[in-house]
Amino acid sequence: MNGAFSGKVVVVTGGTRGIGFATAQRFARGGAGVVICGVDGERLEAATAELEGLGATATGVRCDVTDPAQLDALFAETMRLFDRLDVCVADAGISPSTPFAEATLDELRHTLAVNVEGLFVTSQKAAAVMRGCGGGSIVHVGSVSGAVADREGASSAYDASKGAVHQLTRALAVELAPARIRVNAVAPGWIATDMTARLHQHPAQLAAALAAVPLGRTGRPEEVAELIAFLASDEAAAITGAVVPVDGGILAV
Amino acid sequence: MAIAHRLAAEGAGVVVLGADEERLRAVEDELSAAHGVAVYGLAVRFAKPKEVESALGETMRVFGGLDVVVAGLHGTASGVKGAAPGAAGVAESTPAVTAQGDRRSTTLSELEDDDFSRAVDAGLRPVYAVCRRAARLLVGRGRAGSFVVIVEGGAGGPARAALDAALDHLVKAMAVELAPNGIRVNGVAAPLEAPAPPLPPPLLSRPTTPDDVAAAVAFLASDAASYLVGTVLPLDAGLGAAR
Repeated sequence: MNGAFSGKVVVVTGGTRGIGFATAQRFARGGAGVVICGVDGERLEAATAELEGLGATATGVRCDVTDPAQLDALFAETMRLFDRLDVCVADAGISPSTPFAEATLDELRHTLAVNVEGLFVTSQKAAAVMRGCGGGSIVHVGSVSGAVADREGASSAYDASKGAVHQLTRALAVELAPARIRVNAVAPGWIATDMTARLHQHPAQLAAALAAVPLGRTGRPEEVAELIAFLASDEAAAITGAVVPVDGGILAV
Repeated sequence: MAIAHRLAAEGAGVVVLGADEERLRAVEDELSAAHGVAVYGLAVRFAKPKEVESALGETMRVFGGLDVVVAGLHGTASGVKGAAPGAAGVAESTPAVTAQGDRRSTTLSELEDDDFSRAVDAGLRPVYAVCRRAARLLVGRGRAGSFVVIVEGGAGGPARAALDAALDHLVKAMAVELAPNGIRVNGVAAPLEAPAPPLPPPLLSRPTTPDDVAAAVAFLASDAASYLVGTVLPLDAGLGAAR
């Protein structure tokens, strides 16, 4: 599929690290113009430079997805630079890990604000722009935690937020189909990123988590990026409203 | 056929298993002419496990390997990547059309007991037979591989609904069992006919095509899908997401 995205323009929220960055790299290698956003200015600059190093036209926009005005600016900048939008990957998310008994309402609200509200508004603004471009493809980053609850790394707020992401994916697929916008989600399992780094520091916990993975290993961000690229491409023109696990087999058990 | 074309176009050596000798020769000619790769059609009766076994063994002998197995109603094939060492395989299962025509979509009240058995014989047993023997061959040689099962999905009578559910669970069960051996098993749910009431129309106005199925199979079979295990991609234009 190399080169499959030449002439296409892709926005990736949370595109400075982990799955988001791997995804931005995947699209950059495929020839797309890439716009990434994140909240850490330094990280944003470094990530953008790396994408440019791949020969891509890449831009980094500082953007907090919990602020609709900043998302407006993100898409305005994308249109100013590229005058089109083909793919939007909503990856920005946080993963708190607090036992339910100790979790605060503020923590829940903040998790939902980033993982659900941020993704909701990101998709809304992306769809508005895509309508003017004749269609497009939106990919949400959900989680196996949106389908089943984790035994390791207690996070009721995170699990609830990802369940909401999955159902938003289906709802938006219905509403946006007439505008020729496909909406799908990936549901990653244990992927080796900063977000799961704490797990890797506890060998016993990691072993317990991996015991539930038929493939017996954590996934790499690049492996999720490949699925996102497939779903975003014309190769997946018959797929919308799908939540696709990329989890080494966790959900097949 | 679209699947075999796609795998061949990507450089795989392809073996097509099927019941109809004449059709197999035509498939060989068409594929090798179009893609310049080695293509073999092997005649197999899927109800005869020994025949399946020897066809897959023959595939491994000729190509020196077996990387991909595609099995299902829309065709079964096996492929070997980069035709030199390693062969892809595609096995073509007999279409589930009996002498009386395709009875899988028939309603419960009209469905005869024999129709149900025939649907299982034509739609489920070939997939099981091919995957079981391919798994044994690969595991025995310590080789990795990728299986893709074609599930029909969408509308249909009780026989077809039961077959689809069975194939879906077969994918997951095989995926879990074979993952430790480096064999990934995934599926594609590909309804190729428009849904009829009481099902609503799909969300997307374009129909799912054999090329869509082939593209999904090619993705799942490739290294790009290296962390996908037991996943069934729904090529249903959104049918399953909404009511």
